[in-house]
Amino acid sequence: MRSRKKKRSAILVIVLLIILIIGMATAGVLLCLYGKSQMLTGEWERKIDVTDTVRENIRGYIAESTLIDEINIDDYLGTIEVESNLVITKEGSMKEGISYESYYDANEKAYDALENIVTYLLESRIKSNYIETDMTTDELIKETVGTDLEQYLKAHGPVLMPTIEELETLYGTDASYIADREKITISNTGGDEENCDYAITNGMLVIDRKDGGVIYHKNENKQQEAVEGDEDI
Amino acid sequence: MKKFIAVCLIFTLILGLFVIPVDSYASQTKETVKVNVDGTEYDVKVLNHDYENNMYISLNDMAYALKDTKRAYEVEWTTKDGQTCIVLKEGSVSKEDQDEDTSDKEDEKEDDDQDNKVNYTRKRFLINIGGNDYSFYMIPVSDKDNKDCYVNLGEFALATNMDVSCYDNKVYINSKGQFDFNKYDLLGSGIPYMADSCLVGDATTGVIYYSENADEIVSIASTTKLMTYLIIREAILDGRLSESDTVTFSEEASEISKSSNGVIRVEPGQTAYITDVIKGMLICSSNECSLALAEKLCGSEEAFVELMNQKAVSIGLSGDVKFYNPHGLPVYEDDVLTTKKQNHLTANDMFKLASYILDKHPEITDITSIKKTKLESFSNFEAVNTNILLYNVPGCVGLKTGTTDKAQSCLVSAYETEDNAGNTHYIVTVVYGAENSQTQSYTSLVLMRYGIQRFNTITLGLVPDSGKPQEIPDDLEGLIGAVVNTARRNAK
Repeated sequence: MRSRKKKRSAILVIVLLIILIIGMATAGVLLCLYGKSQMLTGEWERKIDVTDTVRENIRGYIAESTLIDEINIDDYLGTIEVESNLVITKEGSMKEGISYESYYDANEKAYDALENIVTYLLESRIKSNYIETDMTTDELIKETVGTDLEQYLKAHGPVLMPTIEELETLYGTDASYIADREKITISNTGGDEENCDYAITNGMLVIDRKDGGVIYHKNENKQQEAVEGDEDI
Repeated sequence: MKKFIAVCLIFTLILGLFVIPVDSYASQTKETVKVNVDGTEYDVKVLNHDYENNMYISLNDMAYALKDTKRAYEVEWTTKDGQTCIVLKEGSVSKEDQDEDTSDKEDEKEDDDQDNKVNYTRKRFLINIGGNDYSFYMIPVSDKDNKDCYVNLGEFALATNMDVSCYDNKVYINSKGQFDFNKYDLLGSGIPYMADSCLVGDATTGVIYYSENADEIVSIASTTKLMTYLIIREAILDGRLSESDTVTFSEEASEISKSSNGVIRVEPGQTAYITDVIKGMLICSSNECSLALAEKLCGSEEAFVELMNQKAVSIGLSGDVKFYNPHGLPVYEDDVLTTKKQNHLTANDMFKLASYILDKHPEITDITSIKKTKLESFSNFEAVNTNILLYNVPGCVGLKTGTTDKAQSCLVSAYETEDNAGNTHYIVTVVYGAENSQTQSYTSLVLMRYGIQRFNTITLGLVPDSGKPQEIPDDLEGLIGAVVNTARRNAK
């Protein structure tokens, strides 16, 4: 009698252990699969460098009025970047778009650089003509064209930045996705599909898209909960 | 006996090396002058080069004197294109100068009293002021403790456009002011007497701002080549020559190239593109190129010279004009009683000739404004422009230098500017018979700056206001021109 009880207890323990192991394994698998893709959801951001475009547009504008090597545009320009926001929902949608606010800031920065360059050219030309006046350069410009230099350049000067539409075409996304531990399949609204590797480390999301690797950073200002899939970015 | 003669010759040769001046090696007198900067006095070391009051000031000492002003600068020695270049970095002051103790200057003064004769070499090199490269004769001085450079006070004042004046053996600087020619009586200052004849005026309107001995007949050396260019250019435009032509160098041209008057060595029968030959003539004053062009057009030098003299008459130059060759070298007549003849005219004539060329063929400045270029036809020979004003007057666009023993140092220069209506004007200076190239460039610099100031403050007043509302320019060049004109209208 006692040996039968002992045998039943041992079997019970073994079964319980097996259930536990299977349960843990299942949980682990589910965690790896489902948990990883849960980390995908939320808001991400990346910086799009448009400095080259701005530089070339400035160069084209000032080319006829400057001597070779008279000005190094990069001394005035710095880096011009526009922010792009990517929203990934748990419902399986991905939307990326340009931040209007960052686009406006980048545009202001580009025109600041151009304003400084043109101011330098004006002062240089006035100096090389040995003209001395009590008026400041800003006052001279205002008397000449009726507005300040910034307004003049925005009205009559060159377009410096790519348009938002151009940036949206290049960098925007409106798609659905399915993700597992390492792979994400992105189905664009146009119908084409991309199978990409992705990785998340130290708050960075790296998606290896067909045009090259794209790096996003977690937008810490937003909650990591999923947002509604059809909400405007 | 032969040995004795050989020893004497060697001794004479060695002696000559110490006596013959090399590159303006002359004596200077050291002294210290008081420089008053906005009311504060400083001791500044000075070298009087060759004669009294030919003042070269210490850049280091001037940096210290200007340290508390907006004109403060730091002296930096560097190299540019393989040559020494001093950079005056505006807005900063050498820490060394900031720590300088005035008691050291007292000691220096005592040293000056004891031994104030020195022999430093004066030479031409680049100095960058306000982002512009100037080419001045300067006197570098270095000892184990210090490296300094002395620059002519007048050239320093003009390059920095600073209000500098001298009286009572002191230098006065108003750091907030600009160099003002209205304070100077050019004739009384003696500037015009540094040359045999000189002139400055607006070549576009014909207004002459200043002239001295401008009716005097002078030998013109290589400034001749302006007339040579005019004849050739008109031949290209009317089809007698083409810009795609090649030029063949004759034996005579080759001989010139191999002589002491040669610039670009060529062999008989050698060919070159006509565009390179013209550049060689105007930029580095190649005599062989001038002759080759003349022979290309007319078959002979004599026929070309006839065209030159005819052209002089047709454009209204005086009867004092005579050309003997297309390059400006002396000519020896083939006779028993030989004479040395040189192309000659007056400063007034050259002003008219320059005005004619700038009016009819302003594209000449595309060539004459080039400081340095490689001539492909001559195995990439580097042609260096002999006109120093291209460095010393930003905006200078030419035109031609000239030097012979009789003509001495000559320069015809042009500065491009605009009036209120946007019309181009050329301020032209003509300097003939300066005793050396430093005097030539200094006199030309002073006259040119004088002419520019006169144009800015007086000549512009002659341009009537059109009464039309000003259009908003829609390109950068238009904006710059319009703002510069606004600045002119509101000039001090």
